[in-house]
Amino acid sequence: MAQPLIQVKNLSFEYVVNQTKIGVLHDISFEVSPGEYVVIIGHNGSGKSTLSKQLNGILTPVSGDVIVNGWNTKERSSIREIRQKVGMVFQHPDNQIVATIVEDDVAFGLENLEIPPSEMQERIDFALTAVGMNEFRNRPPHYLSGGQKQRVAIAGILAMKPDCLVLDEATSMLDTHGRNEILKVVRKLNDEGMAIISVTHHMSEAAQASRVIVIEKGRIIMDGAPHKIFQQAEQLKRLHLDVPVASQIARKIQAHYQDFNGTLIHNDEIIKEVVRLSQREVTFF
Amino acid sequence: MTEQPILEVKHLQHIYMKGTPLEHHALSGVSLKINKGECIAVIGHTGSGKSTLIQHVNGLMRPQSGEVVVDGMNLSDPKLDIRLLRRKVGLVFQNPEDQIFEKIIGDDIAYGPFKMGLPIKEVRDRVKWAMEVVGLSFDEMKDRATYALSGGQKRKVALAGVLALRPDILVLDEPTAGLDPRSRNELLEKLKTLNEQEKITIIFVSHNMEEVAYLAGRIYVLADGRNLVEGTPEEVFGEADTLKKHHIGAPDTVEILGQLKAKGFAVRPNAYQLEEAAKEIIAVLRQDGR
Ligand SMILES: Nc1ncnc2c1ncn2[C@@H]1O[C@H](COP(=O)(O)OP(=O)(O)OP(=O)(O)O)[C@@H](O)[C@H]1O
Ligand SMILES: Nc1ncnc2c1ncn2[C@@H]1O[C@H](COP(=O)(O)OP(=O)(O)OP(=O)(O)O)[C@@H](O)[C@H]1O
Ligand SMILES: [Mg+2]
Ligand SMILES: [Mg+2]
Repeated sequence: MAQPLIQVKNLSFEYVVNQTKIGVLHDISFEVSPGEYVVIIGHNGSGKSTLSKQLNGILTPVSGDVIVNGWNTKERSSIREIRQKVGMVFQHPDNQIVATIVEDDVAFGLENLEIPPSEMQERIDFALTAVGMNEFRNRPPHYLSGGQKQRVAIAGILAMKPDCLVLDEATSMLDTHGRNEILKVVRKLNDEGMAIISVTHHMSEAAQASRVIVIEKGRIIMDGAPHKIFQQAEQLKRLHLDVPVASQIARKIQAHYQDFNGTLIHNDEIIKEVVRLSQREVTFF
Repeated sequence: MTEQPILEVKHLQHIYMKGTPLEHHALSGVSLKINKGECIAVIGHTGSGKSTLIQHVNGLMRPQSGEVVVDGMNLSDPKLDIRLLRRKVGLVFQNPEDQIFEKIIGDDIAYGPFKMGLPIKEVRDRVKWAMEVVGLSFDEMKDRATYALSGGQKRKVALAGVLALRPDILVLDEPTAGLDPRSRNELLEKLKTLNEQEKITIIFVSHNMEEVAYLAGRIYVLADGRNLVEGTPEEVFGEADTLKKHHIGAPDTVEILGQLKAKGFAVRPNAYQLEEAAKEIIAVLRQDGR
């Protein structure tokens, strides 16, 4: 078996606010292998962003460990290597954007990686094109719309070509079309071997992962393939979550037309199922 | 109709960084006409001008050219009473962090009503009510520090701060971005109630077509700072080709029906509601079976 890229072992974490400790993550353990595509879902305040920030040492455990490619995030001497392996796009782009010109902002992470200038330009072009922001490369990022800023923040990390990309609601301000464009890029990078860990409130986005982790009050309470997880509609609703629209439609159809597969979770699957059933009926004659 | 619209925008233009090499035309002649008690969605591709447009409604931006009139108040009028306008129009920004100033949640939400000079008891009642509307527990959260919040919790605080002003016109820029599915649904239900029962006029920007379909009575679609299409959800989602051309997504229901129609199935592609979409598909399956 491939050695895990990220190992989270009995991780617990608390914030300290006015000298009071607030426990946020409790005894979390899981592993992410190279090339995996994991989505994390959970209600507001369940600890998703706090967990994401543990994955490249922005925050470190109060107890337990996070090991990235063999390096413990508590050992600050390897923090550069860790950040190079695991790149994170924050929930809020303003917390990420540092430079005064879009292009420089994307270059910023690369300068720290000591990439030769010729390759640098190539990577910037790749990243800005991937997120559809090429024509904005000379603009000050603070004069962009919400969705445009999110795209720039994603480009900054894509350019670093990490082994693992952590996206914390990185497409929350994009429309369906824009989100799908970014997801296409993400899937392509994943096909090429990049591990993806994505936090989202969009269940249809979660359905595209190979694995879904559900967290509730700082604990992992479900972990499995999306087709499995999304059959548990009632439990997900209790956790303030939901199932994808495709899944809701499939169940509604099945209630009136029993042959229809009610476990589907993707739009494409619905189309294929309708085609399958109508072809089958046609051959009856 | 003789009714005076509560908001009228005529040929509004806005150029950012005018006269510099970075000059950018964000709005190039947008018009809206909204009656009291309507619930309106503004949708459009990233950068189409939605946030720029709605920041004009409470006077945060003044028209460079064109006209914005809110309940008889002309925003180009140099003698405009901006405080009166702000009481009428509550605006929630796309980025909640632009809107949270106080250290403690309760204080932050109370700030607006307090400044309006309301008695303390009334301020407290409003804060409690607003927190309930957005799904923040008053007892648990009112004394918490605003910096120590998750993304979704920040959005809720920003929304509550504006709701507590009880404005006649609520203008919301991506109100549900970052909310979990339960919080989103509950907020949408409550906004619907405010609109239907208390006749609050709502104008919201959203990229979530499911929620546009649920909440909006009418939709304005922007593209490159201009009006592209307007109409009821049924009408707008019926313009699938135009929307697609301008990179505007449709609800998943409409996506699915559209693909089925393209494959030759006799479905109505703009039956955007879940129940209706399922019915369309069931009808197709039954017909094929006979
Ligand atoms: N800097 C901080 N200091 C103290 N407490 C914090 C801090 N950031 C977050 N919290 C608290 O920790 C808990 C988990 O927050 P976190 O941001 O990880 O949630 P989340 O799952 O990402 O939520 P959301 O979906 O709203 O983004 C919340 O109760 C939040 O209020
Ligand atoms: N302060 C600014 N200075 C210069 N240009 C700006 C500024 N703010 C926005 N723009 C530009 O104006 C256009 C419209 O921006 P606006 O924020 O209104 O878009 P939007 O429709 O709200 O997009 P989104 O869906 O991404 O939030 C964009 O192309 C953006 O780059
Ligand atoms: Mg978060
Ligand atoms: Mg905007």
